[in-house]
Amino acid sequence: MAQLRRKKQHFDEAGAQVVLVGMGTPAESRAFAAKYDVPFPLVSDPAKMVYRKFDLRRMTPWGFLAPEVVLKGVSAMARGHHMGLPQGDVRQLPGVFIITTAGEIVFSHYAADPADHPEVATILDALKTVA
Amino acid sequence: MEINVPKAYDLTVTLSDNSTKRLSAFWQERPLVLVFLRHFG
Repeated sequence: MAQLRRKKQHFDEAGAQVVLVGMGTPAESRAFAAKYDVPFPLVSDPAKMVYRKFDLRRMTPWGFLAPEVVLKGVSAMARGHHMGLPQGDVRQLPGVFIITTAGEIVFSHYAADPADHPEVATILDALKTVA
Repeated sequence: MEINVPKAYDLTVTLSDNSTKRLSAFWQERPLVLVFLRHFG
């Protein structure tokens, strides 16, 4: 999220609209947006209807214990990313899609684990291929 | 050869301000980067 926020201008220059989808209620979403100064529209999806329509995966119950997941978590905390009390399905994995004005999905990233996020540069590169 | 590109599913969504909108409204004017968060917290 922090990366996306910092690079908002790059998305604006690329002519793209960024929209976030979260599992919080509208009130929780507003609190999240205020806390993290979110500059993008935020879809509130507590029933995970949109998550399901885009076939986003859930992590296995033992997925948190995978060494690479633990290492990524420790690394993120060392960089100053701290996790509060989670709201929503903690096993839900994130994802990113680029959708053209024709409604076509030309980029998709299904996270393999909770810390698997595409680099913003990767998303911006993919946007260059969109007419 | 024709390449099949998957179409995004369109549905009505609720925004954080309690308003509702078709998801497709976000990609009608310009490309959409749709980011699914893991969880809040």
